[in-house]
Amino acid sequence: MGVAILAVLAVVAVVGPLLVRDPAAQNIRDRLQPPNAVYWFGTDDLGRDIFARVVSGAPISLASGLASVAVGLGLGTLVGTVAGYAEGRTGLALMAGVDLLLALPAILLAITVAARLGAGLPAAMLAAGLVGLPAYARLARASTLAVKRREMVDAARAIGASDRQIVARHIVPNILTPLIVQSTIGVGNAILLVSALGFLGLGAQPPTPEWGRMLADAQRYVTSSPYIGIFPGLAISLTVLGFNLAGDGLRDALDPTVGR
Amino acid sequence: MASYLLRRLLLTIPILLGVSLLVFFMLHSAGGDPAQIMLGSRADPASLAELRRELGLDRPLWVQYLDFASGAARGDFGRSYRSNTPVAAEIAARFPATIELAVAAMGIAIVAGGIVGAVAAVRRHTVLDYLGSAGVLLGISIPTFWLGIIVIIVFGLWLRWLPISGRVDPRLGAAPSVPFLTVTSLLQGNWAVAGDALRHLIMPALTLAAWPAAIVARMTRASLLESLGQDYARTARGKGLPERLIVVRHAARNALLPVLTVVGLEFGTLLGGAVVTETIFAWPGLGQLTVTAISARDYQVVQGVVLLLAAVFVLLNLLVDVLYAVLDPRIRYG
Amino acid sequence: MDDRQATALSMLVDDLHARRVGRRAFVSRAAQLGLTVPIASALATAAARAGLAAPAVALQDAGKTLVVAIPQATVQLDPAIAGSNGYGDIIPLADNITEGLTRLIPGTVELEPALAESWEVSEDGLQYVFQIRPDVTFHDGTPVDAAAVETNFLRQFDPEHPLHQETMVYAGIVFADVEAIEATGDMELTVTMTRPTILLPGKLATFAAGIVSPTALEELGAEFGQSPVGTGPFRFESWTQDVELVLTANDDYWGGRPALDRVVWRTIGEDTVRLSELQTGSIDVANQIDFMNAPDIEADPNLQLITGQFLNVQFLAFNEAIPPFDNPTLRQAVQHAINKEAVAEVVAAGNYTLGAGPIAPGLIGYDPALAGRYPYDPAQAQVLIAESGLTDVSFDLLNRSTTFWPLLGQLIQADLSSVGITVNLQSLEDAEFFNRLNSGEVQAFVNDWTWDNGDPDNVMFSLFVHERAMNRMGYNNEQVDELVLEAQVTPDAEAREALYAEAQGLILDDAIMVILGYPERAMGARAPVQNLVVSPVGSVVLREVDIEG
Repeated sequence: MGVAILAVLAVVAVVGPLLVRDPAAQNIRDRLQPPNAVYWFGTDDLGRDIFARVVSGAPISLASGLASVAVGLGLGTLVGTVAGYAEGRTGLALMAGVDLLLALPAILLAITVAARLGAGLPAAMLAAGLVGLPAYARLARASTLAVKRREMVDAARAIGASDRQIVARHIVPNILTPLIVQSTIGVGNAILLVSALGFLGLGAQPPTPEWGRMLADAQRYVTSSPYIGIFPGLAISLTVLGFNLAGDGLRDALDPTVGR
Repeated sequence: MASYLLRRLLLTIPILLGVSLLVFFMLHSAGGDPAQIMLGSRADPASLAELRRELGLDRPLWVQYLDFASGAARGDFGRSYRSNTPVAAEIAARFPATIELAVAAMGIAIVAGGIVGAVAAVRRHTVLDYLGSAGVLLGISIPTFWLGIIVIIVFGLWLRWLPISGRVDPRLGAAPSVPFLTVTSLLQGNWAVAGDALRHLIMPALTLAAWPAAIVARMTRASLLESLGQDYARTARGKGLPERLIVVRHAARNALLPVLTVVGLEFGTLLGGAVVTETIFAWPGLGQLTVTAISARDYQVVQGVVLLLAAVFVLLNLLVDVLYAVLDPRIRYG
Repeated sequence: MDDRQATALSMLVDDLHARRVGRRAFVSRAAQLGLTVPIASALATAAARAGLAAPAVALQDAGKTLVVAIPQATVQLDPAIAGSNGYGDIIPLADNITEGLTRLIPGTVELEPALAESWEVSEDGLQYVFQIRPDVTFHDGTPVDAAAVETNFLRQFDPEHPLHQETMVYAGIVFADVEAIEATGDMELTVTMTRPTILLPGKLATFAAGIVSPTALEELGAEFGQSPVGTGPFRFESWTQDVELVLTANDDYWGGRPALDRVVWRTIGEDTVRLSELQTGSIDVANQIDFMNAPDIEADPNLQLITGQFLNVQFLAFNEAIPPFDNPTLRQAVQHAINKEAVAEVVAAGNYTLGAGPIAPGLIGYDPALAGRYPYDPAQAQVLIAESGLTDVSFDLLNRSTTFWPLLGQLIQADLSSVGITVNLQSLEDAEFFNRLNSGEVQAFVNDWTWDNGDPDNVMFSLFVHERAMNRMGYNNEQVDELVLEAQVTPDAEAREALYAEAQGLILDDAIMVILGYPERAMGARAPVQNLVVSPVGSVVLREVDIEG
């Protein structure tokens, strides 16, 4: 189910933009139209086709969500696993570093990244990834702490496996479950965060049809023309749904201990 | 354990030092200039230079840092550029409101999330499980802004059950600056104010709770399922123990660890202030203060808030770790 | 212990009395001020024994209370500094807590006496003599006299004055061309000018020229902005910064006690929420209603929509010092390419006067005919682009990332794209926006100007005279400079109008900016609220406001 949703989204993301109207084309005379036969999802405040914008936004929003999670998950797992496995001074120092990051407001992080890289989607994605990092790191560490005390780790050590082998073969596969759960949720969160940054002028620049940004721009019309926000909102929700269901499936497949 | 705690507490010092360095240099490399923002559209170069000098921004960075760090070490975080009030006073005026909201939201999240997650795990693949999942998906996929507005329009505007924004009705004559308004007025037996403050708390707390509740539910379900699949659960099952006992005695305890991590993290985030929720509900918390201070490059305020939050996070993490050890005897800190 | 610490300590004791801090917090904060813990502790005990157990959340008789919601935060309330934080500070202050020597009649740009009963200008136009209104006292009982006004002005005017602060942003505007300020009698203040400009009385109506109690300034120092003392119809009572500010009626107001007993200013940033609060009746006035939502208010019998002209001009400005807009023909081409009607529709649902010259409607010098100088004509724009000799024109356009600004940017982007110009739109947060603007390296930007007083000079001088225009727009037209400076010293309205007509003509010829237009402003109020009008300078004046019944 989840995979099916993601597959559809992927197809839309790849093929869709080629088939719809120009997402940036304004038609002031047709502005703020509710959904109709010509404009399936209606038009926004500049008279742009919301359907075209939602479809054209698919590759952008999917990519920004995935890229941010990749940054956070990758770095976070690395730091967390090492910290959990090593414990002691190294572990504490690493987690202290993570705590540093946690104390920084996401907006400050984003503003600084944007000041270095220039305001735009890449900066926002990196910032959103860094914001997500501590969650993955802490989860990875907590799970590592629990897993490393299981019998199989002792057994592996007894037969002379190196630390690196133990981490790669025994720890990481066993801590993936909570991490995957967290990261499937994280994709949606990252999309929303990237959009929030866009709202502060730190993310996708207009008129890029990025979903979160569209949602943010729709704030002004919440009561008068709610459909402007509903469709990009649904697109985000559908994506989050897809990743979550796919994550569930993935967990079942990865973790043999959970009965079918 | 005691020596471990002591070491962890001592570790707070280098962490706070690290945070102070990080936030200071990030702020100063974030572009923008407090003087320029204060002078805005009407700025001319001469007054800009003069204001920068007055604020001490023309000094070398390391001098500015030392000035800030030595002040902070003595508990003096300087004055806000914008309001000219001591940073400590600005934070003190906001933090209680944030704590009140965070505690309310986290309480809702733990209870609701825990129940939904546990029921879903135990009644796996039943209607209850699917309903729970649907609720969770709703919770994590609705952007806070929309949820807040919907709640306001439905319960505040249409049904008129609850007040829309703020902490207390200004016509009651109670000062919203009172820290822990709800608790204080309760303790003083001022039922009118207490009731009104509580009613003001409901909508923002619910809005804020949606996300952590979903996360808690999700994590509870996942880890409960996992521990139900572990060897000891199977053994217990093999011994013919009833499923309910297995869940309560064995699985729940083990499943708590990841849930606790998540709760700790989410609570920390909530204590940092919830910008969107606070803005929508005009709630006088730390989140709004932080964002306006960042946008105005009010360095002193940002530094003060971030240091406070770092200290809060460190203590919260410590608490979570201690709870780990209490819950899981296999984890020992030495 | 120095004075500052002593002040801080006495405030801390007050906080303890009011239970804003607990005993432990008191002791630790007193310790930071240099008191030893035992002394601080003893102090706390003494304070408690003094029997000051006033309940923290006491109910007061609220009387006739008006709750006003504004979108901006209120940060500090010293009028001289208010400009550096914006309208959240200005609105509660201006003509409510503080007043100037002069003021505007509500809803107009007409000047009337306030704390100055009258004034005279010398023959040569170089000396203004103000007679201070007798028998007026500040909220703290200090009498208003020439010396008090002198202190107020000198702390802004004289950088060496002990009470001067660099954040007194408006000093340079209000006291431009002033040579000296002196109390020449108990109730007589003389201001000597370097040039015979006619602008001073108008500028003294600016919020920044509000007069405050010199006693309080001395006593409170840097903390003055936290508990302002003025002469206005309302006195400061209490507040939570950024959130809620409470004022009470000034029983001794020289113009007669206001009808309202109490005013509560609330900051509610979200437009939808401000509107909903108004619809449920929990606030009485919502300032700055988005015209998108005006029909909701008009349809509600319990509410009224109050609209009016607001002195504001929105524009697209070019930097003629750097390519591509160093090319005058290209600047003119862009003028023809912008569809201002679409701007009016999107920004203010049509409640918008289309752009003519820089001077807004309602002021001397506004000339609707100037709108015909560059009619919307994309074909003509393309002809001019061809004439300019440039091909594949592309540039960076900066706009602010809040409210309608990104929409405005996108409208311009689309209009220019249809005549073959590529616009790279950059929506920036305010900090970065102004930073980049002041760097002088910005090719083009969208922004606006809100008048601080009711004189056309405010925009003509501030935006176009070369010392101010050079930096951001690279603009330097000596003729414009001369005309604007000449208008400053021309008392005759018709002659001034002619000067401004000529200056605006030159500015349009140079095409240094596209004047997009002038938005109106709307407030929503509950039906029983009376005598509330939109102020052209963005303030909300409450002295005549009443609630019926």
